[in-house]
Parts: sequence; structure tokens; C-alpha cells
Amino acid sequence: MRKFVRVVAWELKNIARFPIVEVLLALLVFQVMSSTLVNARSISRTYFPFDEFPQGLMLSDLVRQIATDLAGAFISTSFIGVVSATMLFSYQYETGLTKFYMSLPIKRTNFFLAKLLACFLVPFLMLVAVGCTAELFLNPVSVLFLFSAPMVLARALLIIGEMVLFVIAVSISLSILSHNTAVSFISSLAILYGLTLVSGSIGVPILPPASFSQGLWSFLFYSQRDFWSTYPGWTGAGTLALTPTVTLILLVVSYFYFSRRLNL
Amino acid sequence: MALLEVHDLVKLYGRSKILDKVSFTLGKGIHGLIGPNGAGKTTTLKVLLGLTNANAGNVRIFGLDVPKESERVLERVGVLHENPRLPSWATGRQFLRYVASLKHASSAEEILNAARTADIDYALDKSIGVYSAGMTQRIGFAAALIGNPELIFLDEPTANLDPLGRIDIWNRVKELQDEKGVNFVISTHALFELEKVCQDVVILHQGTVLDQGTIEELTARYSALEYRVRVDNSTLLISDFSKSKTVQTAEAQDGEVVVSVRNPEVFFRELSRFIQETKSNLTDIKSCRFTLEDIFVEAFRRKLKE
Repeated sequence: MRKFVRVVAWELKNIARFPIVEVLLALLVFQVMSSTLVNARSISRTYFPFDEFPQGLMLSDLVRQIATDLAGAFISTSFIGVVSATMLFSYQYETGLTKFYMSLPIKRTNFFLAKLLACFLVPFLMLVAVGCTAELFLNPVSVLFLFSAPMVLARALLIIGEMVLFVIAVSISLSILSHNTAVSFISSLAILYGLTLVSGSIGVPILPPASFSQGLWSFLFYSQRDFWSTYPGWTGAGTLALTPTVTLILLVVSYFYFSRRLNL
Repeated sequence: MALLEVHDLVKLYGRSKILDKVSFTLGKGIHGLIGPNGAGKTTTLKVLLGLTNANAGNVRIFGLDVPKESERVLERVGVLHENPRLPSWATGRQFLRYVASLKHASSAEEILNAARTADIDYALDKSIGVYSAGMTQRIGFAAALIGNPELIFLDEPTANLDPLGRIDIWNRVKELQDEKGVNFVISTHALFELEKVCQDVVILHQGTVLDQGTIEELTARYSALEYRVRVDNSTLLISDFSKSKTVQTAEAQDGEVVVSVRNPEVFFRELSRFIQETKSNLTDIKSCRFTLEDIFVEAFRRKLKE
């Protein structure tokens, strides 16, 4: 366990080479600006499924604001997630650092999990920080609401975690399977942003970030019964189950390849 | 108990066979792993460290199975890879601390001692990113020393060092063996330097073990014995030796005839016969020392003849 914690701390230091605080501030500015613009409806924006939700629900405008802001921040923090995963997996492999690290007495399983956790923590904490700060700035009432209902906050964090893990899983699997920094970085971004566009164009929020905003909405404000009655069939099930399923498959494949078959 | 045992190791990359039933056993001491480029030296080291899985065969280090018990093996082993790539963002001290923490050896004194032994203690607070290739090599060597390893694998340990640095590293290797009983497996092309420190050698060629033995055994096996003969009629001597069964090669070099022989007694009999018959003057005769490089070349010459 001590070794695991050491590796996580070491990899977090590695990621911290990036100007995280500056990126955080830039994201925040971007977030505030985009949220303001979206609210003003002066520009077209990504498809968000709750546009079609019945109006008149309690606090619906407030939640709509939270979900919109976090979904927007998610797209930006995905970039950081992809950078972290690519750097810790394919870049280290390509430069021979993985070979050195694996010559130290640590199990491949622990090494993989430590890197996964480090990759996850950075975008997760950034997303939470950007989301909370943006909300505080844009709509202080929503923050009060989140903290007055701890279960709602926990659910929101759960969904944020699930979505960030999806991004990391895509990037890690591409990094490990391609062994190439450029390929994994470009293809991860292409896939993630491609999904956004596809979700928007076909109007089915199966995978993040469209499913993220829908997930937030449904988790925060619909009871399970309401959720299923509003979204019957595979689309609703997909929102809840498809993202973690895809994430799990990608991570399991990556883990087995990394621990059993990766030749350094 | 053998320190390291390798049995019938086979490694395939795609369809090409990189290691083909490689077997050898090493005891305590300093061992050389030599061979031409592409012989499989680095791949062998990677399999020994559990970095690459073999397709067949097995490896035991300290009696422990690799890769099943790799973690336990690596706790007792130090490694310096060829042209080591280390985290450029960390300082030397941070890097050594990290290595020490994974090897249960986090005392500052131990870290400093390792850095001193590798002669890099003066740059511990600089970022590895600004290190020269030689300094990176030294900090990698220091990392290999952390945790009091019983066995250290060195892959081209002097590749990026200047002549003084190379001498220094070989001296440190010898000192560590003599004073602390640290064992080494060294893969290198610097045979002239290696033979000064190592006790025995495994020669690899195209993924197979061409030969293995102590320097003395290999010298006896391959050498011959080489003499430098200075006579006033060297052309005639070369021509005469071309008919000899004991002389393997005879060629003129710097006014001398360099003769490689199988049986020294027969050679001296033939030489004295030649001098008597041709009434030549023998002005000088010297026995040449066979170096590890000569053994290496001779082993390959014989292999090619087969």
C-alpha cells in the first residue's frame, strides 16, 4: 500500500509539471464566458437532452444551469485527462521510462492502478473545482442548493467521476495499445469530441458528454421511477449503464494488456 | 546455490526468434554478457528482469522464479539500462528518494552514499533534465546501488562516459565486488575494459549461447597462442608456415610475422627447423597475450567456419 501511495504521489508530481493552476483559471474564464453566452442563447451549442424535458419542475432552471456548466467544463477538462493519461502511459513507454519504473520492485497491477488513479484525480478535481467555482460565480443559489442536499452532491460527484473515468479509460486504452504518444493523444481527442458531435447530431445521449448532462439531470432531480417513465427503452438504460460498461471493458482490456502482454 | 539460472529461454518477436534455447548458469562474481549487435543481450536482460515475457524456458534468480516472483527479485536487484531515460522533471535527489522508497531504503545517508559511489553527489539538487548524458548515466548507476542490492545488471554502463569516467565506473564495480560482495551481470561491447573486472563470460550469437566460461577457460579454448616472430626472411617464413598443420594463420605485420598456432611445441620445432634449413636470423620472438576481444573474434571465426 505504501508503495502504491508513493507511485500515485510521484505520478501526480509528474502531471503537476503542467501549469495546472493557470489551466484551471483559463478553464474558469472560459466556463463563465460560455455559460453566459449559452444562457443568452446567442450561439448554437451542444445538444443537451434536458432541453426536451417537461418544464415547470421545481428548481428546473437552476439544475439546468448546473448541468450545462458542468457539461461545458467536462469538455475542457477532458483535454487535461487525455494529456495526463497519454503522458503517463504512451509517452513514458515511448521514452523508455516505463522500462525503468518496471525495473523497480512494484507489481504491474499496482503500477497500473496507481497511474490510473493519478490520471483520474487531476481532471476530476479540476472539474469539481471549475464546476463549483463557476456556479459560485454565476449562480450562488445553486451551490447553496447542492450543499443543502448532501445526497445530491454525492450523486453529482459520482456522475462526474464516472464521466472522467470514461475519458481516462478511452485515452489509457489507446495509449497502451498504440504505444505511441501522437496516435493516442490525437485519436483520444478525436473519439471524445467525435462522440460529442455524434450525440448532438443524432440526438441520442449515449456516451459523454451528452449523457453526462442527462445523467446529472436525471440523478439530481428525477426519481428512478420518473426517470424510466420519461426515458423508456434503451436510451434511458444506456445513459445509466452504457458509460460505465464501456469504461469497464476498456480498463479491463488495458489492464490485462499492460500486466500480462506488454513487452518493455 | 547458483545466483542466476536460465534454462532454454525462447523469445519471439513476431516471427523472428530473438532468443533460441538460451541456457546458462552464473554464480557469485562479475559476469560479462557479450555478443555482436542483435545477439540478444538486451532481450536476455529484459527477460531476466521480468520486463519481457519469454515464450518458453524459465529463469530463476536467487532461486526465485521470474516473472512470477519478480517483485521479490527486484527488491534485491539493481538495474542500469542502456542509455537510461530518467524523469527529466525531477532533481537527482527526488529521483533517488523515489527509488529508495520503493526499495525500503529511504535513509538520506544511504541515498547520499549511493550518489557518492557513482560520483554524482555534487549535482543531486539539479534537475535531471539539465544533466549531461554522462551525468544521467551516473545517476542511473546511483539508483542501481540503492537498497544494497546483491546483484546488479548493467547494460552498457560506460556508453556515455569519458575515458576517466569509464575507468572510474569499472573501478567502482570492482570495489563493490571486493568490499561488499555485490555481484554483477554486465552487457557491454567494451571488452577491453570488461576483461579487467569480470571473472566469466557468456558469449551470445544470433540468440544462442556460443560459449560460456571463465576468461582462463576461454583463453585456453580459443587461443592459441599467438607469437610475433622477427626474422630476416619473413616472406619465406610465411610461405613455409602455410604448409604447417599447427600454424593456423601467419601474416606480416610491422616487419614481424604474427603467427597463430595450435600446438606451441610443434610450432617451435618447425621454427627451429626453418632457421636451420634457411640459415635465417631470428632476432626476436614474443608471445602475445590473448584479450577478451581476441577470444570473441576467434569464437566467431570458428562459428563462421562451421
